[in-house]
Amino acid sequence: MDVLTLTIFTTTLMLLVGLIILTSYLMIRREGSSKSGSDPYLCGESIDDFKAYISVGSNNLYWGSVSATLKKFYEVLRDKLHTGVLNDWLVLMGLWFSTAIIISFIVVSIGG
Amino acid sequence: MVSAYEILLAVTSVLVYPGLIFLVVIGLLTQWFMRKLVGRLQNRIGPKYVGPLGLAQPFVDVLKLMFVKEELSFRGRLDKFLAIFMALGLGALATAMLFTPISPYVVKAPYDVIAFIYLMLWTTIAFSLIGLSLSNPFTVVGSSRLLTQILFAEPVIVTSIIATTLVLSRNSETPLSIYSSIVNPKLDVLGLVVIALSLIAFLLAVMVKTMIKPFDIPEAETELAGGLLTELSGPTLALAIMLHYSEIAFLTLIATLLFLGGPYPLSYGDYLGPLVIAVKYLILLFIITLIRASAGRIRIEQASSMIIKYMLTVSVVALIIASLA
Repeated sequence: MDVLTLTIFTTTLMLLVGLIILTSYLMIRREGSSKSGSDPYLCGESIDDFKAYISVGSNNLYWGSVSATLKKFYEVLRDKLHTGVLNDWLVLMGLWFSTAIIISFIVVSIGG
Repeated sequence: MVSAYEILLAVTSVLVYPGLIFLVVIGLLTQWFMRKLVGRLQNRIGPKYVGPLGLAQPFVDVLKLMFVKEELSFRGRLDKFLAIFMALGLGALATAMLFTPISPYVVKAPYDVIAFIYLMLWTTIAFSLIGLSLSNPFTVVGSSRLLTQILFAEPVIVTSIIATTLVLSRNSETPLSIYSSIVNPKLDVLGLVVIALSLIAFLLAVMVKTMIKPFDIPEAETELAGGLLTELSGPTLALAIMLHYSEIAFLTLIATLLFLGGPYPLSYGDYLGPLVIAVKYLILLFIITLIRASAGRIRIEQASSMIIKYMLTVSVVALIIASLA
């Protein structure tokens, strides 16, 4: 078996199991007393206080925490490299390409 | 050409042993073990009432959610969408068990580690989409936190698995194959270093991926009222619990088989082999539970920095050593 056939085969098995679970789920599921259309669960708070937050902005999804984690990295990128001066951009691209060439040279010479 | 017998064997393996039913049962027993151990470590009793030592408690909890508790619907919720992805997540875990030698029907191919990792990613996708298919702000924030955690933790899991299979399946007929790495491992001193580093990174990343304290940031009960799981009830919550604990059981079992050599020093044919695997499994689970019981929740950016500093670095070093060895 090659890896492509294996992937197709395992995906088929996965879909089969998923279908069996989904069918059993739909069979045992009963609609509850709370009819669909009721307000989201907000720990007893009034929905009016939360209206602005019902839909969380895409900016707040994970960008906030990622940028908090990589703050120093962004500061270097923004303040030192991305200054808007053309010469800085040339230096950045020159550094980047030379690093890539050095890495590929090492990889090729070691890997043969 | 695949015979009817082989298809029957594959379907039985994926549905019963070591697939769906086995994984769910082991997952719920794992839940009992973790709850009991955390209870004892924190001077509480833990599960007690149903079965000897409360052993049947997780099973009864899930059955009650399935057949007794009602399902509540809320505005803007995509019910079927939720269930489809959770079912696919469980299906993917059950199928991924066929890569291991404990399965009567084994799938293997050169470079099959890619397919294995692809199947492992389905549970992550399922959990991320739970939050995004509900309109509750708590679940959306929980889901965003999970996505952030996983953005950093998933590369650790992938890197440590690739580094280990690279070392163990060297000179094998099927390179980078999970099955040949587990059954015919080729080990030297450098290989041992790689496996030790990968195991540490993998175990910690499993805690992040499965939201175990101190990384339970996406479901943070005191802050987010349950985060991802806030609006789930009845059979949907039962499905989420089964998926969650099956994932913990699956990843710990993979760590036992791939990094700790399965039944080593015995072989897979030995009748005491399963006992050795069970002991190693419980040791790993004990370490995870010990950290869970003794640590408090950390903030999301602390978790992300911790993952980069102590897990990603370790797994990348392991991968570099593995590729040079």
